[in-house]
Amino acid sequence: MNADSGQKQPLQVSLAGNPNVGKTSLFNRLTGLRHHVANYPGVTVERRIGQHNTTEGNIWDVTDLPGTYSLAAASPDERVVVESLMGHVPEVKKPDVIVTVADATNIARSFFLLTQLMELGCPVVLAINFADTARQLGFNIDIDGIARELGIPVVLISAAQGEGIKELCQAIERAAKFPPPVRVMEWPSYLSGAVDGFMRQVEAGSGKRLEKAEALRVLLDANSALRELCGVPSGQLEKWIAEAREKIFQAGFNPLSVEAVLRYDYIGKVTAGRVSHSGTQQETWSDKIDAVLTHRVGGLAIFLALMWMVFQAVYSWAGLMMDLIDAGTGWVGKNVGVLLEGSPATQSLVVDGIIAGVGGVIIFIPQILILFIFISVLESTGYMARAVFLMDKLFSWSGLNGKSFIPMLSSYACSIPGVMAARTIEDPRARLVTILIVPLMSCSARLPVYALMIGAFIEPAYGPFVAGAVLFGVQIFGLLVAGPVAWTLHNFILRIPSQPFLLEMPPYRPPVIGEVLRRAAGAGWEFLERAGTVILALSILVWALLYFPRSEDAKMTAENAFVAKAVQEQGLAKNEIMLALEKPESKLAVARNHAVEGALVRQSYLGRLGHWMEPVFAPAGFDWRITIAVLASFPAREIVISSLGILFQIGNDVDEDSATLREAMAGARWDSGYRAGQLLFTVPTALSMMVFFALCMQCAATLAIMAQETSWRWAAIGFIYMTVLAWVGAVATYHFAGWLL
Amino acid sequence: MKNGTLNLAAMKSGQRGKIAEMDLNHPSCQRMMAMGFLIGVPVEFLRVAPMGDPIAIRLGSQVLSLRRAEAAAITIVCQEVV
Repeated sequence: MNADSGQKQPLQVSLAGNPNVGKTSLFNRLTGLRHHVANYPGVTVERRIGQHNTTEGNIWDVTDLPGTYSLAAASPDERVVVESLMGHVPEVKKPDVIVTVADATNIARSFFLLTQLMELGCPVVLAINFADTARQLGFNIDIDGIARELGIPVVLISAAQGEGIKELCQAIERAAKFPPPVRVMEWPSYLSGAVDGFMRQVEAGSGKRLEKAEALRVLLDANSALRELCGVPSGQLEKWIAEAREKIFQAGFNPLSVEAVLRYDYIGKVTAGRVSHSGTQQETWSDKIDAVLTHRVGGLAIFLALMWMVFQAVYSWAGLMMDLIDAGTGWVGKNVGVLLEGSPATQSLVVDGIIAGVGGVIIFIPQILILFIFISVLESTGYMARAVFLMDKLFSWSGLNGKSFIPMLSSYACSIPGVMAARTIEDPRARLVTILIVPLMSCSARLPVYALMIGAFIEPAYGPFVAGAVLFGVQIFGLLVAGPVAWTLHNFILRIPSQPFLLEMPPYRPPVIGEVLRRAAGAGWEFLERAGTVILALSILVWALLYFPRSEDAKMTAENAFVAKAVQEQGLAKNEIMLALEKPESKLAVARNHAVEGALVRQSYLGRLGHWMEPVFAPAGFDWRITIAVLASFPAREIVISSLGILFQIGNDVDEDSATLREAMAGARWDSGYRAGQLLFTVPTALSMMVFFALCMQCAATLAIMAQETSWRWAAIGFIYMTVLAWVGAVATYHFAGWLL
Repeated sequence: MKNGTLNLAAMKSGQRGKIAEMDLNHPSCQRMMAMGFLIGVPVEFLRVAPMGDPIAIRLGSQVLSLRRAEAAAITIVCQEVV
């Protein structure tokens, strides 16, 4: 960066390192909670960006890169990370300093990536993390010796405890001002000759000047995503690569393994006498814990007990807080509503749109916090890797991996924390498959729908035993569908290359409370900032579609129709009825209000859409009323109950146990079409509706969080496949059950 | 098979050896090398997961878990027979 802009432009600091080296702890240390997630252009990889305020009052932009063992790039996702480090990605600023985070207990492996990063030509600072654990384990690291040998600043840190952070910041500041005299490893002449020759060929062929680091990747990786950079026809490029590799082969080395051999050889020389290890007591301690926690019987039992606890926490403990938030939102809405009684449109917007929308966002916070506290403890102690080891086989056939377990489990409570939990999965392909299938898990918001349908139509017809069996069936239905869906996505749809399953099982470490809380709070903050605004916007949009157009004419027509009907049904004179309606608390007035409310919803934009779409849902046994209720519940599936209440004209203050709602539904008949006069709700309709709700993504919050964690494109794909699946499932169920019963 | 070679996926718990050969055509081989799978590095087979896959090994000083599909790329010279 040029010197004069140095004062104003924030310093660009990138954190790179292997997975599990505490990079994210360091990032949280440096940036606090204020960070956001950004995608690299054109790919699904994300990086966290946050601001660090130095003690001198300067501002840094700190980027947390995805964890990796090597710069080798087999996919566009990996390629974009490498290229952004070289400053070749248009929308991403080139880092001024790359901080490489290494694991003090596994120096050699951390140094593989370090030696690659040092060749990029950007100042590098080495932060060796887990200094405290390494000391306990008897590691002795001569950081001055390593710094001299490599020519870069080296700092020992314990990111979780905050040790060494000040020194690291000073080293970063210095490295930015006075780039250190990096001493990169020397490549043997046969290799640098081959690389130089190849670079000249490419430049002569296409005019593209490759950087040496890029040429190395193209030549030495079996199949590098950087090949496209060369701008040479692939046949020609293939030939040049083969020629260059032949030179390496002639020198007696295999081009595919030469890099690892040379780098580890060099690393051995750098660390010789500078990293020593005395005593192995703690290691056997870790092994002893492993013998219990990964035992075929005992390990599984402990795992299941722990997961049961996690589920209970997310489901029940969070449930208490969610009830409080719900009650709080209701209270605020009621009191604000009274203040705004003068203007019904504003009142409805504020109460039903904004306050309910905000409530619908913060309601997720307890679950997110609790789940991330657990995840953070499981990960930082090292248990997560063991859980993955135990569970992997159960998932690997479908393209998921052992880490999909926690997202799927927590999605049984709610898919919002479930989708967020998928960020612990390193393999981008398994992560995407997991995110796409977790909304199929039967979340707690589906339960009221099942309870209503089973209570009103299954239990009366078949008794409590069948009712229980049906409830169990619909609860696991999504899980059973998820396997084949994941398998299909993995094998036929996704083009992202999957990473091999090579998981480090780090030594057990005690969790650091501050770090755990920071991570949970960070997840909550990200949710509020990114998904929260979208959820709020969507809920206001749906409110508007249900509220407008609100004409006085429609209201009058509905009132007159109600009065006419009342006169006919009750045999009273019209003015007697009118008199009764004067009293707002009277039964008749309440019934009138419900009738008007139902009529207004019917003529709202969403109501019209429901009428118009009736033919689409008729094959599933849904009439226009069920269709409107289904459409109205796309932002949140539990809304279907109150929507049915409004549409069957008994008001929105109903729940799944309401006898009035059940009666109204049981008595409802088709009012048009070839089924006119037949009962609307039959056992096939009830089953079809449950299948629809089991498979459909009727949750704006899930959509928003999927977009946050991947991209809107994948959120849209998830939404579309689930809606299609739900429709097909509902139609098939309706017809199959109709034929069977 | 004293001092014989065998596939990493075929080892038994407690068996130790050194990496003798790696299948460079295996799609995961280069990634494994970046993590420290290199000829001559000592390996100890620790255990198999309850459902038969993946396996856990000690590679040098680190404990890793990998699937049999990846382990198949590695050939071990055994030092002792269990």
